[in-house]
Amino acid sequence: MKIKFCSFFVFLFFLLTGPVWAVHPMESDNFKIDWPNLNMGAGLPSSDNYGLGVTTGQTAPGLYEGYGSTGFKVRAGFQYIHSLIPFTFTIDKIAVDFGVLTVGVGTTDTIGLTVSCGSAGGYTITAHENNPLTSSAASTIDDTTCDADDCDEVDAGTWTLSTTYGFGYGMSGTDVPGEFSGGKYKQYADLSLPTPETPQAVMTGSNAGRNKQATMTLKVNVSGLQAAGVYENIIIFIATPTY
Amino acid sequence: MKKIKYLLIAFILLVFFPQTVRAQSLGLGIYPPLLEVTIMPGKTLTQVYHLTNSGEVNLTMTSAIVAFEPSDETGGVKIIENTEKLQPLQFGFLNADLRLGQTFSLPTGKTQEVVLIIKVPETAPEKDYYAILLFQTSPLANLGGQSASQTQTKIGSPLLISVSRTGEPFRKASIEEFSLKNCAKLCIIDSFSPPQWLVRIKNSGHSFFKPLGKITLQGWLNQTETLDLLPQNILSDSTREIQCQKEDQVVSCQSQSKFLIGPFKAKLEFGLDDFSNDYQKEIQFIALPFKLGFGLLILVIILGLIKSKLVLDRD
Repeated sequence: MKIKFCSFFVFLFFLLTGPVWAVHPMESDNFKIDWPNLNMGAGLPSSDNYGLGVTTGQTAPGLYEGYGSTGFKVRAGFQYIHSLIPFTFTIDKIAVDFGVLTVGVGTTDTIGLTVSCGSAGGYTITAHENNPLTSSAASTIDDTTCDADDCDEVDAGTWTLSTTYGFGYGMSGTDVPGEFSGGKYKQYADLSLPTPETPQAVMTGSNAGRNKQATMTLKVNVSGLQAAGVYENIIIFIATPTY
Repeated sequence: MKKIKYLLIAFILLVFFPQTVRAQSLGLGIYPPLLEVTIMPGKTLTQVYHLTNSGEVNLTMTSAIVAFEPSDETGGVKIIENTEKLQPLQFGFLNADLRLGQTFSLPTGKTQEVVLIIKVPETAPEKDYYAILLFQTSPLANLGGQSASQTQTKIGSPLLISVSRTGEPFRKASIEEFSLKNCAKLCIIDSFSPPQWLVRIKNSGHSFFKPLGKITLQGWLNQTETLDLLPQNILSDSTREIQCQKEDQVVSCQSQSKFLIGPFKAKLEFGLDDFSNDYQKEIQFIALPFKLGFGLLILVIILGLIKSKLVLDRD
């Protein structure tokens, strides 16, 4: 009799209990979490790197519902890109050595730029200079204005004449602005001016992708009137994903 | 013997004490590449960032929070060194051994985790704040007495922060442009050239949003095609050219049809952060086989000329 009763009870239990979902929306009057993934912690976490107080959670948790209960909604990364790969920018050398500059002989060297968008939707790489090439005696090699005196930090121009002096750069490769086509050059935006010039884009991509490569060609040509000395400056690259 | 000694010493010095490291690569990676936040005044939030040195040289880094504004209509950023625009928000790192703005070393192949904390004072005005968490290298090379340009690299991740008490900040959009590319008012396109749309949406509200919607193409023979808009952020007081998506790939808003003929309607409809048809615009165009007709006309003319030449020759 007991066995019958127990069997009946077990049968009822399986029949009447509903399915148990691993993920089920949680909600109350104050909040709603569609896909709950709760992380809990206790005590005060600490290590050599962190001194967290009461922060718990996870990286890139996605959109939080329940604004009223948390006080914020946050989304890390792009809604339409399912990747945890970092946005990466690489240059193939950390300095360009022009060696001994010879009058009327343009010296060129290159920097290879590589971008992997990873989890970013697009990107922009800008470049500018801290100041024109400057010697320890404060002499400068002016930024080039190209053969027809028609280039600046915004517009590119042709620079082939050995009698055109100055310092500038050209770009070739993937995602490079069209104005550089035909081997044209322009000036770096100069940050040392009283009104600093705006850094200009040297690579721009609106689509995600890996290993997008371009080459920056730096060129310097000096006249016989240029004071002798060692000339230096810093080229600054800024890599940012699009928003 | 002395010569060999000198050569050996020079070789050892060259190998073990290189004067420059300029030919080595410098690589930086950052994750996440974007942070979108809607937050109440008086609240605080944290976010973990990973900065990786993927290059060949050990780096000395510093960090900063800077403001930005759109530089174009494709999502590019223009950094503004002045952080007044971010006042009164407070930014910092929660790391025990690292503060925002403090120099730190990042050896090659290593990743530095930073926990960014954003505090929004109770009195913060309800509006959008656009910032970039920026990491920058220190110039590295020993130039060795030669004229040279050193490089410095900065990598950043944009933060879109909307401060709102209700969580539903005022959002408003307008369709600046919905047109066929390379097409005037009366649009007649070639049947063999798939039409491509230009979609420019302006954000005239107080908070960033994503347009969620589609472009529907409908022809007189009931041909239909749908293109999904890419949910790209449009910042307050700016216009953005929106792209489309297909099977998780970013594509231009171009029809996939190989051949179209007759009158067509293209309808743009979207909602703000929500699929709806709150915003709509419709354009009409006609597709005709111009190129084919032109080719046939040329062929007829050539045949006519050949025929007349043959008749002349015969006479």
